[in-house]
Amino acid sequence: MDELRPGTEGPGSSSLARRALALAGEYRGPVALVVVLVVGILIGGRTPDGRPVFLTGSTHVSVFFEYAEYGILAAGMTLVILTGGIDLSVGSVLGLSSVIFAILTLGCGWSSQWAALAAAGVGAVCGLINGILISRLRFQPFVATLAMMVVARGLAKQVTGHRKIAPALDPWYHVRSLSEMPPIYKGMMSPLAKHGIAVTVLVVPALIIVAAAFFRYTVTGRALDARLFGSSPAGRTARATLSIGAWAIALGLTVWGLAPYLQPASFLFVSSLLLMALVVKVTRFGRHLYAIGGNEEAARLSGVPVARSKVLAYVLCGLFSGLAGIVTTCRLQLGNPEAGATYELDAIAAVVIGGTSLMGGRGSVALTLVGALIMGYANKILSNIQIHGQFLQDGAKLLAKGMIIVLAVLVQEARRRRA
Amino acid sequence: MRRMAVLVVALALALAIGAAGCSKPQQEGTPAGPSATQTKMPTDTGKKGTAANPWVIGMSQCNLGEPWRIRMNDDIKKADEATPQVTVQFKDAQGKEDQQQAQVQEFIDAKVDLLIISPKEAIPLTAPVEKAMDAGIPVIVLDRKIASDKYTCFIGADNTAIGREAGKYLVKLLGGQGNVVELRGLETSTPAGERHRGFVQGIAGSGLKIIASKDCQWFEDVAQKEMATILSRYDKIDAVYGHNDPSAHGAYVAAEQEGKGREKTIKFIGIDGNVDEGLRYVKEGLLAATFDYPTGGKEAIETAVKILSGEEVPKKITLGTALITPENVDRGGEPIAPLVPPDEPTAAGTSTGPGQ
Repeated sequence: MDELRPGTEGPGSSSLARRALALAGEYRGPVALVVVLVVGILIGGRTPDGRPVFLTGSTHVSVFFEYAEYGILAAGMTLVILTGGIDLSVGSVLGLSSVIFAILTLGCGWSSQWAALAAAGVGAVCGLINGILISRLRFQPFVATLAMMVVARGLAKQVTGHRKIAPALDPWYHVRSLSEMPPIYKGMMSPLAKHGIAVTVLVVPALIIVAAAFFRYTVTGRALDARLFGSSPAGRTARATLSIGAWAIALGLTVWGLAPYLQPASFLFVSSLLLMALVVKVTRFGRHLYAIGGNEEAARLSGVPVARSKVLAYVLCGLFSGLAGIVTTCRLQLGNPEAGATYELDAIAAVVIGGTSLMGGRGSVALTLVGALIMGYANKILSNIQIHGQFLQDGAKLLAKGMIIVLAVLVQEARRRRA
Repeated sequence: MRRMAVLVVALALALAIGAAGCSKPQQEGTPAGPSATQTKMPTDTGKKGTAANPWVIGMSQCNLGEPWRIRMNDDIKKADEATPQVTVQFKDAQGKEDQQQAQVQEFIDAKVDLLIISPKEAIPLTAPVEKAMDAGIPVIVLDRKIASDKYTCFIGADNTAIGREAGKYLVKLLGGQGNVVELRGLETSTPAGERHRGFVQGIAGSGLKIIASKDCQWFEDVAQKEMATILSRYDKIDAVYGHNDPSAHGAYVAAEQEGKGREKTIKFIGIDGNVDEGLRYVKEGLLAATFDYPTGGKEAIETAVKILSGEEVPKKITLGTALITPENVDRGGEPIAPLVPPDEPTAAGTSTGPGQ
């Protein structure tokens, strides 16, 4: 790390090397991700025909797919952590909305949309209660969300009577067999392309909006846009249209290309994080989160609506927990009141590995996406490593996982001290 | 300083993974030699199913935190070592359905020749098993079923039959008269329901009476507390039927702690027969008997070899049990063949011969 100090190297190579290192430091998240991928290719196991498992497409598809709930939880968790708070209740709220979604669809025969709305709503209400306890009643976030963690789990067990919600559980259940399950149960877990044109119609406008926002509001987007389409005032509208269109088509083609492979659950994971990254970057609410996390009192004195912003952060966190609950129900094909136990720890780990500080005020949602992928890929590597033809046992995996967290934070900290 | 710390952690990481690998020697029973490791490593040369190029079997265990499941893996490992045509790779889902789903996918991606799965839960694992079958991988389902017929072979024991055997044995042991305490397994679990129903069938028509029946959730400490309460309420208790060995042992300890010497007069029986639990308790005379709950590990490997060599195998194999008492514990108990309908093939718990 000393290499970054000016004057430690010869004048000839220094500027290039320094710039490369600086760039690597700037994009340390993606660099770390690439390192993890390379490690994966080297030691992540081989298929019987000798190819590294990490060079098969299905491995990458399953990383996104298997990490979906954690990623979705991490999106909301980042907002809360940016304010200097924490939400320990996400796993339990996931469990609660999971069983509510299952009861409504399988038991009461609600349509998937309404049930999903209700399940997400339950999550949001839990978040709202957290937010009010914390911002209005001055509970410490740890305490308030710890209580919610216990209460939501208790509720999940209470409403199910400690049972798993499956078809024909009780005589009044609307869905009587596995074959009658609503299409969302299979659909969430099978590749997007199988959903036909309806989803595509929904996806395209969403992409145009994301493209527009990217080009309009992010620094990288604006710079890229100016480079590609010029920046003189003449013909601005035409150029803007052109560039939004181009971005939308580029994103559209990406989604189109991935549709035969990626499941809606994976898309939800990535788009939750991208959407929140944009919201935090673009909106006043996002800037307020940083201000509150940096110095709550200063933020209050300079007119930041501290209480309102905090409540909104917890509501969004709850909402994402609800969303993750729906994904879990579809994944398990049943509503399990125990679902999501200890998920909060993985969500927090993804945020921290991304480089967002638990003290608040520092970090970003985009980094959380990187952190989540690092965790997802690390899990996949640990799951695929073979020593003497045998897979690692749980103990070794946990040891390695813990050390990856320590390593990631050490790297982040080293970088911060230098800055 | 910080760079040092990073280095130290990175080193520790490498060591941890390395150590984990070294601490698991590949073969225990087989004669070690320079080629011993080689023979178990899959290579690309020649025909599959030979010692030099064994079939790769993926074993997905739902939770290695339970002694009985450790025994299942051990049984498979032992059978693996005795069977040069196959090599088994183990994964443990730590009791999480989603993790087990992921593992099945990983085995599919790794193109294993056959999959053995002991599912955590029927419905969530149904689709992954079907996917493996669609990928051309035969699947042997162990102990717990899945929610469809799309698998190659199911191997499991019959809890109702074992409960019935336990009931019949107690009737004989107590001479047809007496008060029995039942310490049940987790109320919502299927095995607990079956072990209860079977027991009730077994004692039907005799003079045995269940005077107390408590849900102990399979846990020894819960059983101990429940038994202490029961002991203080009932003066005449002749036998305790634990749905598993730890429950029966917990009851024994409670009777001992009561200090009236009733642990000498009450007959305690359990189910499972794990080496460090039931077998030890029986050997030390704490339990009057335990009934083996076979893992099917050995049968799974035998069946796997048959499937892989293209032989027909039955869709369902029901395992028997064994009555294990202090007199016969050293001989491995007295096998009891399963009572099954005539069209179903059987494999008695301890008496099946080698596969081919």
